[in-house]
Amino acid sequence: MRKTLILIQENQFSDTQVALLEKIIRNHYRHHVSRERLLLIWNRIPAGQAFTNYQDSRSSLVTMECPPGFPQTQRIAVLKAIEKDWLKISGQHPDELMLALVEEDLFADVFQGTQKRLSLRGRIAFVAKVIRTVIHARFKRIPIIVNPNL
Amino acid sequence: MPVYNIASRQPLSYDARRRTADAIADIHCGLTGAPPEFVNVIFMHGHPLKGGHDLNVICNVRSGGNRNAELTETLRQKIREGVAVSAGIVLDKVEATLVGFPASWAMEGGEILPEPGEEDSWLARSQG
Repeated sequence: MRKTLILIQENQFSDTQVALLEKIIRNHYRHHVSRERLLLIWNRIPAGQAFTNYQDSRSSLVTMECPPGFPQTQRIAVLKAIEKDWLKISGQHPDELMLALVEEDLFADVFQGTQKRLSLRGRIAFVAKVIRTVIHARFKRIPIIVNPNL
Repeated sequence: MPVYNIASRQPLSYDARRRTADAIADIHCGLTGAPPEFVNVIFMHGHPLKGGHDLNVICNVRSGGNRNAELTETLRQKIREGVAVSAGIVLDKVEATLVGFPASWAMEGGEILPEPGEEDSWLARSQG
């Protein structure tokens, strides 16, 4: 299973927009990158907890995992395809969207880095929160949206 | 990119977060020459950190180009010091880690990110 981490700002998108954005990521990923299962985790940052260019942030950051040695031409193709559809749905300026397609080793460093810095108690709390959120999302058939504060 | 991801045990006030984000942008741009438009800083709290730390910074930065190991380590140290001062936390309780990303793996403003040191021509192209 491949993973995608997405960071958005609170009150930035409606639930409908998030569902649509998830759909386009899944579609383009399947078409350009891999037909493997894709786990998307949305981190919704509470207001006042993100800054870009000396201001409260309106940016969205999408980091996707890919196999090692993924061709750059295909990387550009999938990033451009997602960017085009994302901006159509979100109404954001292109400067407010960062997309990355990252090979699995580096992706693991990023994905695990936020857990490795936690104490044992912190890791248990983090994993428990993610599992609760995943179960809730699966049950309700909605995107997995996490508030990163523990 | 860069994306600075900051976890703390206790919530920082909005003013402290703002001050810290500004300090990071000043340090990052001053040392690397990157434009502030690229600098993202994200805060999260309630995180029990290992090693008795009160605050941890993980930064995803572009690697390669004009960035050698010495500059990267200087950046890590300056960020750690700057964050400690602006967040009002003792330096020993602050940890910072940098993770290098190939610029060509990421897109911002509709363009693949420039190699470090080639930002001016990238900005002229993307804003032209």
